[in-house]
Amino acid sequence: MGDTLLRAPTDRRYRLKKIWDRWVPFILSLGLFFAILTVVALLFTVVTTGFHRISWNLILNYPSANPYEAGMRSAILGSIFTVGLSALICIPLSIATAIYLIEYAKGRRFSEVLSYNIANLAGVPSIVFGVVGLGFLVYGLGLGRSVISGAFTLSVLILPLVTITCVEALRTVPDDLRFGAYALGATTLQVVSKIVLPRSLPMMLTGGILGISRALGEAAPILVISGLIFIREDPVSLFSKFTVMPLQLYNWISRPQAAFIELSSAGIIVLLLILLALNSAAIASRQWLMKRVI
Amino acid sequence: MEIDYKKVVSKDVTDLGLFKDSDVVIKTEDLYVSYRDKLAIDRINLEFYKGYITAIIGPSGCGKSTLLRSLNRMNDLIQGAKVGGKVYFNGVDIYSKEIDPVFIRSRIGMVFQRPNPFPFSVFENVAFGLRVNGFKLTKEELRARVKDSLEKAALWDEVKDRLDAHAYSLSGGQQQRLCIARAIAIEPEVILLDEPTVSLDPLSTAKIEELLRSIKNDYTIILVTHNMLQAARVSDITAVMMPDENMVGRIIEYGATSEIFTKPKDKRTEDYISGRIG
Amino acid sequence: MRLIDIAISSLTDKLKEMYPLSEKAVSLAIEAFRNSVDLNAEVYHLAEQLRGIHHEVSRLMTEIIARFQPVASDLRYIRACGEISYGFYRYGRYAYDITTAISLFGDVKSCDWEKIDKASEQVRTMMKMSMEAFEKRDISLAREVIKMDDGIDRLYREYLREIITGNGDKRCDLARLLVMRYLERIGDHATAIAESVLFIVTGP
Repeated sequence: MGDTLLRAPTDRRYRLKKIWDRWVPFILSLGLFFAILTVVALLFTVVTTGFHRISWNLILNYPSANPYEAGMRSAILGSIFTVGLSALICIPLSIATAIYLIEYAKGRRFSEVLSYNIANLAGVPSIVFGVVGLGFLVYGLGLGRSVISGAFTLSVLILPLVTITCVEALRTVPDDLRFGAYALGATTLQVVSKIVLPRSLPMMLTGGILGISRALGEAAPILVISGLIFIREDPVSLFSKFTVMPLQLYNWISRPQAAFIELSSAGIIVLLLILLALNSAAIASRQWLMKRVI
Repeated sequence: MEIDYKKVVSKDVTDLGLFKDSDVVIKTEDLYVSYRDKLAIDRINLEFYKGYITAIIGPSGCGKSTLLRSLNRMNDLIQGAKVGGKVYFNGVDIYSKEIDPVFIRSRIGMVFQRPNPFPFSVFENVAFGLRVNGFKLTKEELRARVKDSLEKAALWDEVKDRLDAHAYSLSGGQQQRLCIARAIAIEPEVILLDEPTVSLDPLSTAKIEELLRSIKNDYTIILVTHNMLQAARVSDITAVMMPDENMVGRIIEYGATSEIFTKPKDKRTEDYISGRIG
Repeated sequence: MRLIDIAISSLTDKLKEMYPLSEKAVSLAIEAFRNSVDLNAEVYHLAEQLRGIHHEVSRLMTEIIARFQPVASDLRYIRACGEISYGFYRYGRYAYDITTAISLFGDVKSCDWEKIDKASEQVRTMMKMSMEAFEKRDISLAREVIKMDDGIDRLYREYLREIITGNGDKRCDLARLLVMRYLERIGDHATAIAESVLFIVTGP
């Protein structure tokens, strides 16, 4: 009696079930495998063509017609200026929006409509933002093809993404904590500033940095706003002309000389390194803050 | 702390008439609460007395917690909840327009099902209520107040050496006592407890029950529990809630705990407390 | 302190309140009888008081069982308290019964009370010892009480034989027999109390 319970059944259906159970994870991981394969292939091409061209020149020199002297100093500075500025505009705005949506207007029809639209906004092609920015900021407000126009356009572009992460961050704060604070006679502002924000800030910052990474890689809207690809001066004020790294790479790639193609590969490596650094920073800062707050 | 056992079990708590001399701190009049137009509790008429523990018992989903939340306007925070009827706190209707719910909540504290200490140190948890309510205290006064609250919550001896430790490093039972200390710190008149021991082990539960008895003389304590034995052990007065045929919670019996648990008047109470239904 | 301890201590207090009353009732009744003084009203009052407290104790026991679900030593203690309280209540009742016969017998002062005084002394010692055994949870004291009860029983039987065979004054014989009979009953209840103490300490 006892051992019949322990012995596995041996019929066909049971064996088939076991086989499926073993192979399904492999089938499911095929998608992941293809994704990794693509990335590896891409990296391999980029690194093999561009690695020997990485040098200080690339970072410190202005663009030039001579591929062996050309660098992307103006583009790197332009990227840092515009993206940094857009983060300064976008992150506080996103946090504020999220707090309003979750802590103040929760459950109201208006807030629901707003949430839907923010989600929709995240799906709009980035070139559209560029065109709107061109019409509204560059010509409408007369800001010109300047750093500030680019920054505003980029911040609007990543606003939905960052806002959604911020909303999610607020949702991860358990209602228990809110109720606990309310039950002690705290006002909504006190609940938000003393309980909710400290707890959700790490996740919000992660969202912010992810938004920045996205903005760093954007070429299309900046192409429309800046219009310039070849700039031999640093952006010094909010109203300077500017270009960004993806545009510089685009410029190099579209040249016929093989040396420029190699240069662009090297540039891609630099861009990827910056993105990698940012993402690591995001993870590290989250870990650090989490440890402090929780 | 000396416990006045005469008040726990003796003839002076068998008859509800004897409570009538004590101060009625909270009184509800035809109170009802609905969620999105569906009535949850209806026609609640209760009085809660200073110095006594009132337990509200009843099967799950009969609206006990809803009733409790409507006593300190926590239902304002629940989407779709609508409160009608009157709730008088020291004679003032807390739902009238000129009353600030934030003030009401600072006078009527609440402790929840699951311990929910804030992600701060033990000390800061207790000090939180004092800070948000703008108590003007010196460092020494603050420290004294925190100590006093922790002592009342029977937690001081266990945490006096680690006031700066994170609240999450305490055990579940300690966390819940911390939450009680936190509520006591701002000196409310009423403490509402929503099944405070449901997630705790028997020993922690006993500690909390003892602590409630030891502080009860200074407060009006209202305890919601679906553990009727807990109500029997701890409370002086018991209100039994039961959903009617439309699943609307109503009070079916209200009286001295010693009476309810030895000779209930309502057949449904008898069936419920003896485990025949619910 | 456990919540049930609070309740139990109020139960104990009630018993401590009962003992002096019952002691007083028994002493008064015996003194009154042998001196032919009518103290019926006074003893009645004591007996009624004891009955009231006994009723209170029963109610309290029910409440404690309903509210605190006592187990083990708590449960034994509570059950024993009921037993003891009943004993005190019976003390009062017998005392009262003794006094009701006083007016019936008339003057019995001149009878020979020597044996009765001895027995009454012994029974009152048993009452006192059983209470002390309860208060101190002293089982050797309780066992002593149980042993003493045999002595009372023997005294009672001896006296009974003496009356049946002898030919003394009828009034005096009956009066003494009556008191002797109640003393024997009281001794039984003192023994029951002592047994309750054993029950509390050692279990059934």
